[in-house]
Amino acid sequence: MQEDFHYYATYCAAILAGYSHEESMDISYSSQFVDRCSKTLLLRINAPLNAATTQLQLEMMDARTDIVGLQDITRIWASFHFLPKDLYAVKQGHPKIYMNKYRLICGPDSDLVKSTVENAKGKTLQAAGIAMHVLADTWAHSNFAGTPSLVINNTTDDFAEIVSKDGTESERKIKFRHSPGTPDDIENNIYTNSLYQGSENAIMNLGHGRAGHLPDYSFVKFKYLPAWNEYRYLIKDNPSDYMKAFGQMIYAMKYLRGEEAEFETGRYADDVIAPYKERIDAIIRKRQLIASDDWRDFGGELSGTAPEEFDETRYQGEYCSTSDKEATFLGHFINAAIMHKGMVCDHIYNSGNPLAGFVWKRIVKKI
Amino acid sequence: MDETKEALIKKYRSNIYFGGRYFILFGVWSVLRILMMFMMNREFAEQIFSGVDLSEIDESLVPLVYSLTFIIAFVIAIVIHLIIGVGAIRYSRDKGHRRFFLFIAVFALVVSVIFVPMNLVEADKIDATVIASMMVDATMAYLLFDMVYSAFKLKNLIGEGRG
Amino acid sequence: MTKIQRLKEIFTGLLMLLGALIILTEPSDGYLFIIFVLSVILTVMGIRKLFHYFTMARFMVDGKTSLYKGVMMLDFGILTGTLTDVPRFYVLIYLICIHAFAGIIDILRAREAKAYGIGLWKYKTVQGVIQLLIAAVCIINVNNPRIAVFFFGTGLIYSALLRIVYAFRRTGFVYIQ
Repeated sequence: MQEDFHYYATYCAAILAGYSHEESMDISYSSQFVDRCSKTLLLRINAPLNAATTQLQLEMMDARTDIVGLQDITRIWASFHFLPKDLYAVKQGHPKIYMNKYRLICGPDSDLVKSTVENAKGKTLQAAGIAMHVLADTWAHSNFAGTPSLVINNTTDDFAEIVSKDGTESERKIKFRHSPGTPDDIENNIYTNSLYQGSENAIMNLGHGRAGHLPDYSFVKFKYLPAWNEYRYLIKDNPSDYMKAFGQMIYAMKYLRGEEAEFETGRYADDVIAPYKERIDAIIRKRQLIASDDWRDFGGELSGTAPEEFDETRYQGEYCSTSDKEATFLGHFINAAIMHKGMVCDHIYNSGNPLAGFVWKRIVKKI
Repeated sequence: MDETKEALIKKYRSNIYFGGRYFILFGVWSVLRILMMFMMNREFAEQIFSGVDLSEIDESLVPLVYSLTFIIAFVIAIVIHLIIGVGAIRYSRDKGHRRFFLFIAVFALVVSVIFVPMNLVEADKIDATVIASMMVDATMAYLLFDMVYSAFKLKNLIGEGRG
Repeated sequence: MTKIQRLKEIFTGLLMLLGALIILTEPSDGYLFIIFVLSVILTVMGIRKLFHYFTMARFMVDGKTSLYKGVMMLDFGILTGTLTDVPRFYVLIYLICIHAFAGIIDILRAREAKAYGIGLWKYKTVQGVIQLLIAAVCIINVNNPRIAVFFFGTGLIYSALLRIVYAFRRTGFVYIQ
């Protein structure tokens, strides 16, 4: 997902869940910051590097793909952007080495997303923001894994957009090119994706690179052939998934605020969305590269105050200038990120999967 | 068409397509391999022509005879591989319904299967090169079998759909 | 990384340093050593590809290509090991291609780094230019086998040192409860 959903849509969901404008800003900022908090940024502000929640393109290009490097990559991407759906999935006749990667396939409504939200209960707004980012990405990035893997994340070039007109659906072929600098041409269905890499652990085989930015565009419903699904096409209905993601975020935040007794998967706060469903649907289905303006306007109407533009450097001065770093905004974010990463990696390790490495548990302090 | 059938059709088409593509590559590789061994391994070069009596041919023409023999053999090998490979690729893309390539593929399959144990019979000693040759022949046999089998299954599936 | 993994990385690095030493001190034998190393690398790549096929790629759409590629690579690797009369020219061409390709990749990365405004681009540019210079030197001295072994040995030393340095990286992290 992009800034339009992680920042502005999360802000809207937080307002609808009952948070104030300031609280919603903190949550949405933390949610978007997950896409910015790289080792490069942490180095710049002299913060712990193990709090990294993303990797820049250049960091990934220089990343080693030996066992240590792969564990580093998997910890970040599986924890924050491709939360695994079923760590105990079973497939007859498939060796463990294959299943270790298969079990990292991301999907919504998983036990891990439940743990993610429950873990954020009673914690800071930054922890809530991180949880919302992770939750939202389980919808957008489903069917891809947060570890470099040719046999899971590869796809064929056979992509088609499913277009509805007058109640009937038809297919429009999607064409790919490999030029990262050129914006996607959504009118002519020409998108950028990553090149095919024949090596199992090549960086290009991480996540949804082979599908380009298609999973991040809320308007598109498409079908494609993933490497792992035994020649069966998958249909990715982004408009429907994004609506569910939005509804689930509201429900999750109501739980975090104490308005819901427990957090159950498969519930999407339909009652809260109902008065705004048409408006939200229109934003989601509008054919555009990024929907930030529409979500911002919607958020302004809901709260009466337009959400500020995202500024990556907003809290860095505070963090750098104080000695009590853990009491700062970024200090809370860093602690929450480390906590969440540890929780996810612990679950992955306990399921018998070595791909995220192991976690040294140390009782330090409560956040 | 149900999902399983669509998946199977996709799978068999893919098997035929890649079978064709790699059969061409295997053909080119086999030719290059023999060429490399001839140019860079004196023992191999001597072995090839050890049983040939060239005493009646003018000495100045001997290199020409060697070259022509190789060229003709290589061209025949490449042509056979291309017939099968290109035929398979076209068939997989539904651009040609002629299954002539399958007959040649079956013939090539039988030859490949025979060549696998022949590597052991003809070798003076069983070393890594013999094992590698056996592997290549076995893989080519598997590739051809997969191609023929997939073509047969595809025909049945598409036939079911039309019938 | 476990202790055993660290030891393995350090041991491999030391072996590579030893190999580089042999190559640099005995160029004539080193030449044959290059052929041997190339053969081993290709054979190992072929075996790895085949292992990947039998454990993972056979479950993947179009995974059979891994089998076909693996067999060809393995055959090429074993064949290389049997070549007793490889013209030195071919070995140099191989090294030139590797260095030139590595240099081009580094320069492309440098351009991307510069676009992002990251200082790393200068280092990457220098690295890329050095690789291209090595390739150019090899082309100029294509008839001199000593150049081939010298640069191959230098590359081995660089890779070995990098491996040893990475073996000392910290792994695992603190989990706040």
